Amino acid sequence: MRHFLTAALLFTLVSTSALAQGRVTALSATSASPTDLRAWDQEIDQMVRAGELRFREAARDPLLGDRRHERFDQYIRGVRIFGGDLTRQTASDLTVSLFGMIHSGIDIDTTPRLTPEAARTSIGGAGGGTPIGDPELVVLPLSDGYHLAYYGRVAAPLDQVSVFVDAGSGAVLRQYSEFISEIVAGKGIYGDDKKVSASTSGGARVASDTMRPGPITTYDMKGDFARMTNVLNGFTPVAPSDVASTAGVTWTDPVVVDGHVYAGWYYDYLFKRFGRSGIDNNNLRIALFTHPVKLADINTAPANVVGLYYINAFFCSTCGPNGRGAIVLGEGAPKNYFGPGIEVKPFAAALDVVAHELTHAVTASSARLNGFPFSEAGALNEAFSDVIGVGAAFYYEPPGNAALQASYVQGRDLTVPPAVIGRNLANPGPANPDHYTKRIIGGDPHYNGVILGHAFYLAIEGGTNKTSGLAVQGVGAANREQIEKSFFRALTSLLPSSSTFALVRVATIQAARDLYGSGSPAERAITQAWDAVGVQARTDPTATLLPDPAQPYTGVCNGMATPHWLLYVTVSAGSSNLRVTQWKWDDHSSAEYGNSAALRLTGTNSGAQFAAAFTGCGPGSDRLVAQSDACALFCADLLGDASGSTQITFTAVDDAGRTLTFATPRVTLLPR
Amino acid sequence: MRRAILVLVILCGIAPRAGAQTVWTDRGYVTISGDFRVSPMSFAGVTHPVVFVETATVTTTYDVQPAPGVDGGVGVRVWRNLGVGANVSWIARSSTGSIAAQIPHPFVFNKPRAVSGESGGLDHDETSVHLQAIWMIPSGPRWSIAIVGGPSWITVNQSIVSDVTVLSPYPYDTATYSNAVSARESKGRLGFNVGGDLTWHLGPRAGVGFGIIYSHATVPFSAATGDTVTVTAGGTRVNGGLRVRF
Repeated sequence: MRHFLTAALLFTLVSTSALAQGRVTALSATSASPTDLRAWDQEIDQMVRAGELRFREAARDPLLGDRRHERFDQYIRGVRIFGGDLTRQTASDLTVSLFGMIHSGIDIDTTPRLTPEAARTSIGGAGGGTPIGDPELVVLPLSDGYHLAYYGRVAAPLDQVSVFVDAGSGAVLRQYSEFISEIVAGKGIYGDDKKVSASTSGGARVASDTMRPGPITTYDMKGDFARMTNVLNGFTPVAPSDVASTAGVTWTDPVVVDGHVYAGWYYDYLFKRFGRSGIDNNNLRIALFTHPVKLADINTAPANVVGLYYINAFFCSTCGPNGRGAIVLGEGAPKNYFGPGIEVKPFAAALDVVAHELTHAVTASSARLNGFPFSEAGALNEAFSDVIGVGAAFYYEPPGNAALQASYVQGRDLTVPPAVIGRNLANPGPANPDHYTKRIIGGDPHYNGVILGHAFYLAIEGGTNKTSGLAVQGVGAANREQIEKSFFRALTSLLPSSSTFALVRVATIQAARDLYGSGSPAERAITQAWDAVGVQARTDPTATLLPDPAQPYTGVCNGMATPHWLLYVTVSAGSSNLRVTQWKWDDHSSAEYGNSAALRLTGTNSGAQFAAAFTGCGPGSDRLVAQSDACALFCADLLGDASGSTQITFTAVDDAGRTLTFATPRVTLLPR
Repeated sequence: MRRAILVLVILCGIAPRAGAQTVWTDRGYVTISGDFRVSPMSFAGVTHPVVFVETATVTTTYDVQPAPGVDGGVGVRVWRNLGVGANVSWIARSSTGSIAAQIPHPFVFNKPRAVSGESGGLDHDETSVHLQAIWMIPSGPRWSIAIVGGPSWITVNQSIVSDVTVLSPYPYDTATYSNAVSARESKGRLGFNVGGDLTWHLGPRAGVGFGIIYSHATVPFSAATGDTVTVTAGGTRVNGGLRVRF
């Protein structure tokens, strides 16, 4: 109370500053100077009577019961002066204080040449959205003088913008975002404390990050699946109400907290680790959609919806509010839905998963590795997302195997218990391939991509590949930055859109050489890692036969004796185009069943038969383009013998007319 | 306290003794002096503003430099050489703050940015009212020595640093000090004073004197953040000026 009285006794302060076509007076009159206060009070009353000041609102003082506060706006010839207003504090009808900005001597024509309709169009265009209501004609004081302007607000997809346009020409005089940056506390899905970089608009906090050079917006689709799909397909624009928001001082939706925060961390990781400005290196807005479906609807949702919007996250390069990409974070699944005792968390729960999806956006704006189903580039796209996602996790989280700790299991935090649906880059098998020969041509790109992921792991941590037995001397976890940078450089600067594993090998080695020098530990580690996972420059044709060893196949293979084995054969062209002229298999039985370990069955097929059979990963042909693959699925038997081995040998002619012969490894056919 | 006792010993040591008149016969005296606080003071305050939803730590070491001031006093004899008096002194000193702060990162918890800097112009002034018991030791017609001591009420006006502003470009991992956010607070606390005064009597009434007084009080301030910052007030003050007997 004493402080208040002291303040009330402050001497009247009136300062003025002249402008080109008028003058603004900063009014501060208090009861400390009763004469000035009285004079200004009378002046205010006179301005009110003259219509130069219009009453806007009044409110009782919440702290001092006898006080009342009034607000007035200043007008000139019926046009509001933007920012020209004052407050009057009264006690028992006696004025206690006056504070305001009063404009005078303004020489301005208040007749607009622009129609309100034209102004509305200009305002909407400037703000990049839909104007809210009709524009207001105002007098706008700027540093160069007073302008007759139209003022309006625009609901942009990602912002709310105030725009002033000249009432004569329609030119934009000034515009600014109504969003104000604010850091809000929140808890993530695992209950951890996080800082949400938000904006304040109209008292609400919205998940629109404007503190980073590249904006990030997180949307809450509130489980409205129809709206989600319409927005993704571009049938419905996102609305400001779609932006996730919270009314409280803390953010209570952990899905939004994690998704928004992890996207921000990923932006920072790109900047700090690689010097990259956002996903497109030009600060393109990052857009995330959360709650695309309702968790409660999972039991009635079609399987494809569950697979896409519940137990999944994805990036769409043409979706989003600006049509330039957005990620959708699946809702997860309740306990026991996915499996006994298994809970699938919302996909925002894992930093490496959010980073994985956002790396797809980086890829889309750099190497553009295409997702053709039979292309290795599709697998490489997933693979780079895996390793950069893991890299982001190690950048922020301590290494370990608990939740919120970084590991080489991509997506480990998605489930409780952990790692049920994760991809293990350190120890891929048997769920994923640890060697190039185990790839499935045309198979799941996530599966095939683990070959690169495992090479990435070996280059950092070192170790021995279980399939090849080759050892790798890694650079060590303390130097993981070298491998991350080499792979990222290859992805964003060196690789073309139709890359192959072989090309990535060369590009990552070159990137390491560029960054750390020829013969550097990084170059050595990456080279050894690619050797270990069986990725070499494809100069000569090769053939693989999987699995090895092969278990007897219990399914039906028409015309085959029992037991029989299901085998997957791949022929890979090297640097030359090939024309397959002949292929021949040699089956041996095992000696323990009374047979000599000798040739049991053999057969030779023509190039035409190759074209007819090898349709597993592309159109059948006896011709094979350089660096491409042909593959087929076979059943094999040993005429009833219980076990043995098999091998296929191919003969082909290359571009130079040379006849080449190459064979698969001999694969063991296990007994039942 | 040890400094104050040393002062008294010095005063006693320089007082003339031979043939001295030893009974105080005046009714009292008035003093007007210019004085000088000779002792620099230093005290530290720690505040914890909330920055980016996390608690920051701002440690300010205040260095208050020696500075001139004024004082005046009055004393009356109550019994033999014993008197009581009051002395009022005022001093305004410039103080600087050496600031070391840990400012939270905007995006992640537990990654504070360390900043440091200096803030000048932190106001510090003291108005002290010293109530004193006086033991007057006349020493001949020309000299007298007064030994004084008693409680003091020291009111301090001090600019208390509560927060800092920093310059920090994206990615905000580092920050540099920009300004201190301070507020001027006023508070008084009870302390004590002890000292002595040596007067050379120019005539029956007027004289000039030199004194030295040590006073001390600790004044707790409540910063804008709610933290308590304890200011050390007082110190050693030497003065010289007019002495009037009546």
